[in-house]
Amino acid sequence: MNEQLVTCAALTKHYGSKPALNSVNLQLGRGRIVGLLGPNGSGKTTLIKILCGLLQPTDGSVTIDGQPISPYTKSIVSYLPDRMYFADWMTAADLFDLFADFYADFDQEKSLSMCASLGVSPRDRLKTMSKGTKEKVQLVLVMARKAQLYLLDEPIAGVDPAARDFILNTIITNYNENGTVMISTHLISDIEKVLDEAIFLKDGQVVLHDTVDNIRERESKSVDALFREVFRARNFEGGAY
Amino acid sequence: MEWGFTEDRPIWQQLTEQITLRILKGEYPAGSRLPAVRELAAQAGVNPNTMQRAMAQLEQTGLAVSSRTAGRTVTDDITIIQNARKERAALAVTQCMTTLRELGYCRADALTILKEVSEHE
Amino acid sequence: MFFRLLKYDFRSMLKQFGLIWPAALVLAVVNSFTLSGMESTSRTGETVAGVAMIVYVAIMIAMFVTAVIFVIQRFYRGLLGDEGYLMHTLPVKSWELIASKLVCAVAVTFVSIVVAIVSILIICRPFLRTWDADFFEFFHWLWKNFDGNVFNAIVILVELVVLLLVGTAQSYLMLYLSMGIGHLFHKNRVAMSVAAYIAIQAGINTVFGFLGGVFNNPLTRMLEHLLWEADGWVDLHTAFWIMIAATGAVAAVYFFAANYILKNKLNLE
Repeated sequence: MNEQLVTCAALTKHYGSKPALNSVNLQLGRGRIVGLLGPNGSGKTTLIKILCGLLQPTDGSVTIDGQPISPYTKSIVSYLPDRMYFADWMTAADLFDLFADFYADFDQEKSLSMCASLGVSPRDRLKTMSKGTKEKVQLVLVMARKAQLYLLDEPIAGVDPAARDFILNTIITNYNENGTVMISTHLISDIEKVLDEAIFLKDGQVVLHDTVDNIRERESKSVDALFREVFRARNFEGGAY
Repeated sequence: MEWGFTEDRPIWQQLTEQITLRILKGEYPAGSRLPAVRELAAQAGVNPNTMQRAMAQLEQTGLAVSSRTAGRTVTDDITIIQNARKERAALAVTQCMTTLRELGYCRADALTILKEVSEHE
Repeated sequence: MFFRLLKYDFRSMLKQFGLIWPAALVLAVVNSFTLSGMESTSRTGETVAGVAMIVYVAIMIAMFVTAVIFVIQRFYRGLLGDEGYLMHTLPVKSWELIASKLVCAVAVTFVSIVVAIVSILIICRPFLRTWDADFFEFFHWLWKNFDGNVFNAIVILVELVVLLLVGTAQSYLMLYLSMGIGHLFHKNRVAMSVAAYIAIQAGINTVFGFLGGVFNNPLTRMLEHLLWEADGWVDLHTAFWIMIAATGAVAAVYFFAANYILKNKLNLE
């Protein structure tokens, strides 16, 4: 086991000529819940997709558990994408079988008990499920694994407060204690309580990476309040807007 | 008792205070077993590491003790709890007196008002 | 891991073709009855037979159109579209992903062709009534015409099937590579895929034309010689295996190129 779970060095990603990540240096330890915080278009999704191998960096390097992105790192990363990705004809149980086939750390019993507590019947076809139910299935798929790194891309965007509390509760009660959870969001007040660390991403660069306790102690204000300050400044500076 | 947090201070400190209050009120009686960190974290909707830190702080003050067999329990040493309660009461009185002094009452007047009001309660 | 991937690709294949294949065969059986009934009966019999035939032909066309769409969709949507979010985060190598899609695509084509042949045989069966009676005579004829060497005839048949499969795989890999090249662009990926396909085709033509010009196309000449002036079975077999190897080599180039793109250039945006 490598001491640092995730290491990014000078990580850069361009879409065409537009930079999405600009020389990001980042280290994440184990057993942490980390908030990846930034407004839309700040590079959160890009960073997460590079970590799970869906995007190739333009420059710089990234390792997970000391390894470059590879089938090994994919076997220890559990990813909740920002969209639905599975074939409609499958049932939730089919998907659990698929995950059990490919991921040695997938706990099928846990997936079924999570379904029960979420009120999802695993024998239903995905086609017949509502959007909210599908999102629950996806959450079960991700959290029923005993992964080392959980990457959750905007898990609480666009859900009602009850569902949001439920999702956060599922995350804090189900994540693997030796694993690290990275949650990307722009809704900070909702998740601040569950975070160990916060990363502020602004225009593709890390402008702050510290523990939530340190931030509160040093600034005497919540991470949410600090976030509003940091990202409001941009509007004042940018006269062009 | 509901969990609630203010914005200006670290959450673990607020957790320590709120659990302490629960012990002093007898919600978690002396010698009783405290819920597991994960369970408490889920109740309060906070990160388990944060709850762990609050618990460590409680152990530091002696209000909680952890043993290998029984897990983490509230101390059965009544004097510790009583001292903590007294401390807490002192804090409340100090705060109250500060406010009254700010309103312009001298110590004697303040005590009279306290007596009056508490009799009406 | 590869076989687990295959399992899921075959399941999605059965979802798509589980109905159309049996339907084609059932309609063939229906047609064999309506067609044989037509000789003796009325206009209505004729109409029924006509309708049955139209439905059968429609199903055949649908089957092959579905097959082509299936081959393209399973790769494009499955690896370069939304489903790629799942497939590319599985702990598998990119070549396994491509190989699984390819095996499934070739299988779909193969089974569809077999279904088509069998259904045609079923329809024609009433008109080949003598076939049943002369079944053994047919083999006798085969035996005589192939110089008593049924074994070689069967091997040639097998070689033909292998060549067909490798050829199918090669043309699908060319599709995959084109889609992979299209994926390298940030905009107009579909248009770029089509352009890439045309470019590869042109490139292949140029390369082979060039080779033919420089070397007076020795491969073609050798094949012509082997096939048409065949000096016995060995020459024929050699000719087949040369064709299989050449097709396979081109297929391998496409495969490695497509794999390189998926492994090093994947960008699911």
